[in-house]
Amino acid sequence: MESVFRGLGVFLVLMIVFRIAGKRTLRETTTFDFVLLLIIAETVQQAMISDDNSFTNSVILVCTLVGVNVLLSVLKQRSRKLEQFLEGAPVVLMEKGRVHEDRLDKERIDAHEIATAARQHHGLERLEDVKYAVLEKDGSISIVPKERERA
Amino acid sequence: MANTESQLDVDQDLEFQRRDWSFERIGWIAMLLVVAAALLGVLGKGPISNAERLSTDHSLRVVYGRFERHGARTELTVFVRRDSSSGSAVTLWISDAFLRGIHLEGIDPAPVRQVSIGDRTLFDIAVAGDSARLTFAFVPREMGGRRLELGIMGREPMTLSQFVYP
Repeated sequence: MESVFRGLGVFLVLMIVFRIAGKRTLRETTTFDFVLLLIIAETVQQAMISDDNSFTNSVILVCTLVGVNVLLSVLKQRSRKLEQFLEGAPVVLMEKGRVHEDRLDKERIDAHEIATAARQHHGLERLEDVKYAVLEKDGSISIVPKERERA
Repeated sequence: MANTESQLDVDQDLEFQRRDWSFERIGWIAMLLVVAAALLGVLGKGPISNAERLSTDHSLRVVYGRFERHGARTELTVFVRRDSSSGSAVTLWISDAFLRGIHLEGIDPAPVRQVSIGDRTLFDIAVAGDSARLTFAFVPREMGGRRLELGIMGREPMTLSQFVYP
């Protein structure tokens, strides 16, 4: 019984913490984000398993965690409000070539990151070549390039 | 859902986003408060948690933690003072209600005798000088607020409270 509550508690806390931390927190997977992820996994493991290393306990925990995940995905599909609440919503960072500086500030993103995404996915050389840039729910930046005027 | 301000088919919701950003910032403050509370000892060992109580007749002094955590090893130290009426042994009692909520790992130095009577457990302690120390090492097993009643046989009892976090 305790294992289920431990699993649920850890799930809830991690969900809230990562929601608070913002979309980009574990998205970039820089060296530091990777280390952070490992440390969090290690820390939380203790709290979930406590001193019960039995096979049964691990089965209970896996079922609890995956079960909650499935349940939430079902609920999210039914309610847009819940989906927004749990996952956040995409934010348009650049519109028709114009950068929304205020939104960049709020999301703690700078223009270089948009330029990086533009380079990586579309081979764009300059920020001016970007028509739309959207910060997706998962923290990635998607780019719509301007149509090139060709002579 | 189409966005009103552009042709881009994106599920943007600026009204929600503004609330989300405020929520994020409130969350950061909350995380900061958790860390501050931990540093101060509200969530476990630390300055606010560390407590010391002296019984009204000064026969007993207890050093304990106001806030403990479930499953985390901790200690409680009792200092007993011998008065002229008691012999070389002093009997300390602790309420069973408290002892049932912990896993007692050890008592240092070991008491001469340990018996359970009614709703309390008695510990006979050999006292060579004027006072003796007894340290209980234990792991809390029950969560929430708990009361600890203890005392020296025939003397003023003492009631302490302790909160155990999950």
